[in-house]
Amino acid sequence: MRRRALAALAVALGVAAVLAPGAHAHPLGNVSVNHLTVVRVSADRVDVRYVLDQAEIPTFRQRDLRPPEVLARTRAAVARGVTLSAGGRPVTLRLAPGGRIAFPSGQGGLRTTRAEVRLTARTRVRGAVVVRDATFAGRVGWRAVVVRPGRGTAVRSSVPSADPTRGLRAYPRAVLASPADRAVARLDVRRGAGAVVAPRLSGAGTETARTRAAGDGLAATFADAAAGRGALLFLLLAGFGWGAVHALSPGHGKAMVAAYLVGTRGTARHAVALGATVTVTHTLGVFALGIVALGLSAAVLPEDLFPCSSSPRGCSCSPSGPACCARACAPPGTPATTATGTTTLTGTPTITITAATTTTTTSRGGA
Amino acid sequence: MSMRLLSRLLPVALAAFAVTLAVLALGRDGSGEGRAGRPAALPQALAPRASTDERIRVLQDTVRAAPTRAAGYTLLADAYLQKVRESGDASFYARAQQAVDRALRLDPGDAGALTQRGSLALARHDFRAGLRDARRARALAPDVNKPFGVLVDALLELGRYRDAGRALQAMVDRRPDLAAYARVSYFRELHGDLDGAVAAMRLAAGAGGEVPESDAYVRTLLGGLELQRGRVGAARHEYRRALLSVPGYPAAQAGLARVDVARGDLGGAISRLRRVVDRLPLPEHVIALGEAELAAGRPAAARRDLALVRAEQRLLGRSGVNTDVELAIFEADHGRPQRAIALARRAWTAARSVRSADALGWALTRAGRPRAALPWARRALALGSRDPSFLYHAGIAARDAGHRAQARACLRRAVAGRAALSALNGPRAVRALDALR
Repeated sequence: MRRRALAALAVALGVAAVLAPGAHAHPLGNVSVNHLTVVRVSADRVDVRYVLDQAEIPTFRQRDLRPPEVLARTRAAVARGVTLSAGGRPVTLRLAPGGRIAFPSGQGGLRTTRAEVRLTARTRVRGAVVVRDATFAGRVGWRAVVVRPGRGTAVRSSVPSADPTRGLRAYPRAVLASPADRAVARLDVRRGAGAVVAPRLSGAGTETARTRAAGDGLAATFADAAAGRGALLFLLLAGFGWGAVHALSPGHGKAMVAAYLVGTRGTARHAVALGATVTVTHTLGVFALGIVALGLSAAVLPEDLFPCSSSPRGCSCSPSGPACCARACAPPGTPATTATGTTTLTGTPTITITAATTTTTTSRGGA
Repeated sequence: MSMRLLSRLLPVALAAFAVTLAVLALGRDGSGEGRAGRPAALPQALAPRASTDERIRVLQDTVRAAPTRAAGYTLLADAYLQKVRESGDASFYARAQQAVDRALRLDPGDAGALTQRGSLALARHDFRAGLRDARRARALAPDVNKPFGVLVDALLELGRYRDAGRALQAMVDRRPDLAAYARVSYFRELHGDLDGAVAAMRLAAGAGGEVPESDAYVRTLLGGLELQRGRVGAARHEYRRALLSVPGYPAAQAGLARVDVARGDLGGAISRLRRVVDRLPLPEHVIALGEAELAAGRPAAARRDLALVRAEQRLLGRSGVNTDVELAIFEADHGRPQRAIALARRAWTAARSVRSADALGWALTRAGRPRAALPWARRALALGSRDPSFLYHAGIAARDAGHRAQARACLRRAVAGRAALSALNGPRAVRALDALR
C-alpha cells in the first residue's frame, strides 16, 4: 500500500511542478534536464554551442559542488556526449576553454542551473555530417539539436533551424506543443552562401531556409522562395510578368479597343482606364471559369467543358458586330473604317475566341 | 458617353476583382477551417499498436484540423497522461490539464474530459474533486466504463471501501479488462487476500493493455505482491518481464532493487537505485535509496539523499499538492515525529483511509505515545490488511504499549512478508520479533 502511496506521490511531484498557480515552477517539471546543441557548419570549421538548463531537483543534487566543479562536470559530459562525424568518420570536437555557469533561482527557494559550453572542430567537413547529443540520455526534459547557417556552406538539415526556447529561456506551453526530443542532426553540407534548408518547427514537413551570413542576395531570394518564404512576392511578380506577355498574344480585342479609342478620340487617360477594365474583367473571367471548372471537375472533364462554353460566348459577341456596323452606317465617314483598317494591320481576325476572351467580349458589349 | 459609362464601371469592376481575390486568398488560408467544418477525422491512420508519441502526433494534427471539437482534446489529454506514465515527464500534466480545460470549455458535458480531469485531480491527491468528476462523468455517460476507474480510485483513497467495492463490482461486471482486474487485485490486497490479489493481477496481465507500459505496470505490481508473499524469485521474474515490455522502466528497476535488498545485496540495490534516481529522482526511489544506504552503514550518503526528499516535499507543498500521508510516514521515520502527527491528523481529516490511520498510528508511536497509537494501528488493519509495513508499525506500537502477545502476532506476520519491507524496516522487524521471544 505504501508502494502505491509513493507511486501516487511520484505522480504528484510531477503535477506539482506544473499545475501550481502562480508558482515559478520549471515549465518542464522540477526534475527536468534540458539541453540545446546549436550547430554552425562553416567552410573551414564547425562550431557547437551547448546550453544546459537543469531544473531544481537535479541542481539540488549537486548542491555540494562549487560552481567551477559543476561547470567542469558539464564540460566533461559534453565532451563525452556531443559527437560529430563526417562521411561516417568521427571528427574531433574540441572544447573551448571556460564556459558560463549561473544558478538562477527557481521554485521553493531552490536554484536551477544554467551552463554554456562551446566546442569547435577546425576542419573542413563536406557531405553527410552527423551531430549527436548523447548527454543526459533518458532524462526527462527538452532536448534539441538545431542547425544555424555558417559561412560559405549550404546545409540541408534533418532538424529545424529555429529554436523556440530562445536558448532554453522560455519553453512553449501551448497545448499542442510537445517538448522537443531531437538528439541527432543529419546534415548534407555543400559549398554555398550560408544557407540552411531545414524542416519547419511545427506542422507538416514543409522546409524552411535561412540565411544569415552575407552572401548572394539573389540566390538567397530564390532559396527563400523555394522554402516558402517570400514566395508570394516572387509569384506575384512572375504572375504580373506572364500576364503582360500573355496580353501580347493574339486576341483580347486589342484591335477593337484600339479602333474604339481612335474612333472616340480617347485620351491616354481613357486608354489606361480601358486597359485596366479589360485586365480586371478578363482576370475575373479566368477566375470564374477556373472556379466553375474546379467545381464541375468531379463530373466533367475541363476539356469537355470548353465546347459547351463556346456557344454562349458566340451569342454574347455576335450583337457587337451589327452594333458596330449600325453605328458606322449612321453618320457617314466615321471610325468604323479605321477599325477595319486596324484589323488588317495586325493581321488577325477581330475576335479570336480563346477560352479566356469571354468576358472581354462581354465588356465590349457593355461598352 | 460610353467613356463616362466605362469610368463609372471601372471602380465596380475593380471592387469585384478585389472581392474575388480576397475570397480566393481566404479560401487558401481558411483551408484548415474548411476541414474543421467536417466531422473531426479521428485518427484512422493510427495503427492499433502505435506508440504514444505517434498517437500524440496524430492527435495534435487532428486537433489542429478541428480546433472546435471537444473530442480531439479529450483524446489528446488521454495520450498526454499516458506519456506521463511512460516517461515521468511532468510537463505533459500541464498539457493534459490544458487540453482537458479546453475540451470542457467547448463541451462542458464531455464525459471523457471530466474523467480525465478526475484523474488529474487524483494525481494532485485532491480525491474529492476526483470523485466529483468521476460521478458527473458517469451520470453523463452511463454506458462508458472509463469513469469507473477514477471513481473506484477516489473512493479507495477516501477510505470509503464499501462504496468502492460496489463500484468496482459494477466495473468488473461490465467489462473485465486490465483496468478492472488491477483494481480488483488492489481491493483484495487491501483486505488481506494476497493470493486472490495475485490471481486478479495475473488476469489483468493476461487481459493485456493498449500500450506496453500498462503491461509493465501490471507486472511491476505483481512483483510487489509476490514480495509480500515472500516469493522473491517470482517477484524478480515479474520485474524482469516488466523490463522486457518497457526497457529501463524505473518502477521495475526499483522493484529489482527491492529484490536485491530482500536477498541481502545492499550494494547491488544501492547502485541500481542510484541509476533510477539519476534518471528519475522521484521521492519514492530517493527514499528507497536513502534507506538502503542507512542499512548498509553509509549514513552520510543517506543524509544527503534524504535531504533531497525534503526538497522535493517543499516543492510539492509550494504547489498545493497534498502529500500529507507520505510526508507523515517520512517524517516519522527520518524527521520530527511531532510534525508527522500533525500531518497525519490532517490526512485523516481529509481522507479516512487505512493509509491515513497507519500514518497517524506510526507517527504517535515514534513520538513516544504508543498507547494513543494502538487504536489507529487497529484501524489501519481493520480491513484485514497483510501489508507488512502496516503490520510492522502495529507490532512496534503494541510492543511499546506493553502488549507483547499482540506485538508478537503482528511482527510475526510482518516478518513473513519482510521482503516487501524497506531495507531499514526488514531487519528491524526481525530484531524486534527476536527480542520478544
